[in-house]
Amino acid sequence: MRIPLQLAVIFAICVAGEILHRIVGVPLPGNIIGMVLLLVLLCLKVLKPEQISGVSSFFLNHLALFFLPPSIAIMAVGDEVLSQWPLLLFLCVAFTLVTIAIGGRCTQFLIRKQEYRENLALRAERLAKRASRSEINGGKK
Amino acid sequence: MNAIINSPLFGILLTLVAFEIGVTISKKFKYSFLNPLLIANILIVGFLLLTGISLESYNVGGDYISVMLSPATVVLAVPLYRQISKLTQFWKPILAGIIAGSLTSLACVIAVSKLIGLSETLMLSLLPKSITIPMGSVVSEQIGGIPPVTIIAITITGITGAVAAPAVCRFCRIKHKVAQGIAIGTASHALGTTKAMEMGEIQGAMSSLSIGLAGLFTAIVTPIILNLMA
Repeated sequence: MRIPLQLAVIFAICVAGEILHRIVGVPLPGNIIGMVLLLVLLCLKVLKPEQISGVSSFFLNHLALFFLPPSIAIMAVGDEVLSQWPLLLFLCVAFTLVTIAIGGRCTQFLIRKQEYRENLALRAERLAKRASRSEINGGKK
Repeated sequence: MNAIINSPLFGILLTLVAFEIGVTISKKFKYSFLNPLLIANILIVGFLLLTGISLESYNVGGDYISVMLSPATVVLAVPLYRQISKLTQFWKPILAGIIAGSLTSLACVIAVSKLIGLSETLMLSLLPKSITIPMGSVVSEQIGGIPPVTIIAITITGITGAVAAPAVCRFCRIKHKVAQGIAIGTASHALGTTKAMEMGEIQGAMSSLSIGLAGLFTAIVTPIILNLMA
């Protein structure tokens, strides 16, 4: 697809997401609904990743740029926050570090547990196969 | 001069130049705290404060780039699609991890606010700080917080995630790529996802997935927790 058409597809999905959010009332922001819509289109093979790769790789490669202007709003802190500014900054930073640590450790622990269980099941299956094979061989002798 | 400052071209140029400086510096010195977003943010805020140009004038152009947030979020579906096998393989640990991370964030805010006697409105404003801005500001309003304060807390949280995520993962020995992505997305939404995407496609995909799910979970569970406490 040519780049303008790729852009049109992506923006159409954005608009569809906004419609679902604002008019239909889906309780997720329009852009998150758009992400789900695009995922569904890709899974249903309506769209192939290569068809939108020009636009998608541009956005993905420079993702942080698009978050820069909204982050400047930090300048407009009110007086109420300004007086407790260092405390709030400290709390936000500290909570984020703790959240990453606990969220990550929990996920990793459960993944490892699942992998361990699947490995055990796999090994048991192999052992059972080997056992049955040697039984047959033993019978022939 | 005022006409130029108030034209969209000014904000767009300032954003692009600051971002490129940020990227150049962070590539040159490979410390993770020298995040391009953080450097560019400080540069722009510093420039506006020094010159006395208002945030409104900057936003005339800045908003053009902010509009692109929507398509940029939508295309996060592409890496997610490429890693969909990881999602179906580990959906249970993934869901559990997102719930654990979201609850941790909420519990931290409530516990510490009570402990140090933070005002009720500030606590309510901080509660949705780990979720994406469009959802966080709505939740904040709904539970009686101040949305602008929430937006600032969300931004600080996001930048912290983008800057510190690799160090926290190393320090806590979070090595599994899926776990890294889930942790970053759950704790620091789309801003943190920018870093997850740099760390690798699996991390980026899992982080993208967590933005929506953590946001949804937090939006549903926060009012319930507050009701239980009251």
